[in-house]
Amino acid sequence: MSRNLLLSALTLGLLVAVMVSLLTGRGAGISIPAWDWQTQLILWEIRLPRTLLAAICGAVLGMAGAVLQGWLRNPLADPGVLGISSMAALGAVIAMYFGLFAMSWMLPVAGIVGAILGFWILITMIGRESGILLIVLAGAALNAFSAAFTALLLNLAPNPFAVQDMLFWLMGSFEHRSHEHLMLVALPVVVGGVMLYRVAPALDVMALGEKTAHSLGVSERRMLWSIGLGTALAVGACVSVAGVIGFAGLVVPHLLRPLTQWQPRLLVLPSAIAGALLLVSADILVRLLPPGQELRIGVVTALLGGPFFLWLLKHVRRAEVEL
Amino acid sequence: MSFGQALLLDQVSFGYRDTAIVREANLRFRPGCVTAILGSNGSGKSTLLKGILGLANCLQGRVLLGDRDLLQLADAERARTIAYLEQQADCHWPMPVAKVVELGRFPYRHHRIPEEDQQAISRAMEIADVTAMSGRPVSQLSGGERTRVMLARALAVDAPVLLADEPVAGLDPQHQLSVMQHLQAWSADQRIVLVVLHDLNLALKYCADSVLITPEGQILSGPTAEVVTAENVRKAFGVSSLLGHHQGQPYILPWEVD
Repeated sequence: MSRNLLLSALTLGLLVAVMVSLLTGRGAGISIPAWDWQTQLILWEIRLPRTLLAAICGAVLGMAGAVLQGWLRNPLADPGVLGISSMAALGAVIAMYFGLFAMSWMLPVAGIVGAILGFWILITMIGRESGILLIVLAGAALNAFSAAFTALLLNLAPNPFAVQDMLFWLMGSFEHRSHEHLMLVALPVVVGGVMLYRVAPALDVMALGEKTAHSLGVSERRMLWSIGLGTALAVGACVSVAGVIGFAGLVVPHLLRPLTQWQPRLLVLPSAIAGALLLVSADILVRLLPPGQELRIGVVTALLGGPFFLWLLKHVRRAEVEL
Repeated sequence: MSFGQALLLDQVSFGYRDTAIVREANLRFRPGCVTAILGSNGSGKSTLLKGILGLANCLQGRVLLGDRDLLQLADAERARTIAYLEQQADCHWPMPVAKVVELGRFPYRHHRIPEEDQQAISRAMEIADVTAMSGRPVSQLSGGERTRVMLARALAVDAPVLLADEPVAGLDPQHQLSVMQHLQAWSADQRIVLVVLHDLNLALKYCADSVLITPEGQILSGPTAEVVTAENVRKAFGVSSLLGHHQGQPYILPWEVD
């Protein structure tokens, strides 16, 4: 499939999904409402921020997944699998615990700091030349650690309401998100996204290995900084307002790879658009389910992504043995 | 761009952290011929290449091409000056062959001249004999075919210096000979070509000059026929060997461990 066709198809799909999402009410199905001030209020204050946030988070996760996979030459890399998302969530929960959320901008800052810490631990502990499975193992350890630490904070939480609030980050959702949340993530997402997009051309060269990439003029240090900071800024900010939404960054690049001639560079932009499409659609789905307790989107992606990850793991292991 | 100039290592030590592996090398590599880098495992052959590339630390000395210090060059300029074929080079994703070869033009991305790129790519593919497989994914190729694709990738850089680390390892005799022939032809346009080899006979046949590194770190250099002698081979590898001539060309047969 030609690149323009792929990009056009994905963009069209995203636009349709956004339109449908704006027409979807929680538990009310998809309907075209009468155009009055109530509708305008609902559209503007509730559905628009929710939809935009879903699109932004999806784009960030898809893009970060594509960049991380290309950079690490690892089809299993994803901000969630590598523990970067859960470290960001831990940062947000810590900020919550100490009451720092009174200043709303502390939330993304705490998320970003957590994500930077996670990334730093991952890279310094194991290096990038480690095998595919070792990196995933280190990510599992990081996930386990941040889960345990988060559980500790829940345990020590002063009251059930605090527990309820802190639980939010463990299972992501776009429920009750407002324009304020959009404003909070806008800057870090744009800066992080630009940093990630700018490393894309070098990702093809990374496919030849670190040494060859160096010989072709790719600066390892610049790559590390751009990808580390870019991922932490964009993913950290998204997780701090929407919680952990796993596996989107894993699934999307994997599905698109055959359509982009397996070139990591060509995968970045389509993954961003398709990520947005995926999460906007998933968010429509969770609202269409019967009313009552709303299903959280982080739970849905984990339920679908978990088995996919296992399948991929089996697949990759076989490929590694063949090499 | 600086074709025809010699590559000089002036009192150079290369290593990792503070440990020198190549010590106080004074070498001059001529353009227009292939130079073999020989020595036992761990003697520092690969480190010598990596040091020139800036992948190993330069603990002292200078690396000069003409009057330019290669270790002071900006990343992109160094990449246009030195092409590198890594040991067991491979492409991680099953990208099409033509796309892999095209990566050799990455150092030129900021001031691209499409015709020049295209010319360099098709020439490299022709020399390495991979034109026929340009649309196939690299993962479907045999080991020998893949090595040739990686060679074409390095040739596409079209740099005055080519460093190849064991480019014939794991190839059958026919492919070994043909890769060496390609490298020899490549050096003919006044390029410097350094090749790490284990096969002394390939050095004798295709490389006018040789550098032999002994386990003690002594570096012998000169015309291959003078460097690859029974005595030096004993010193470097600890084996005695048989020397012979065929149609005026020398060959050597490592025979037994001392």
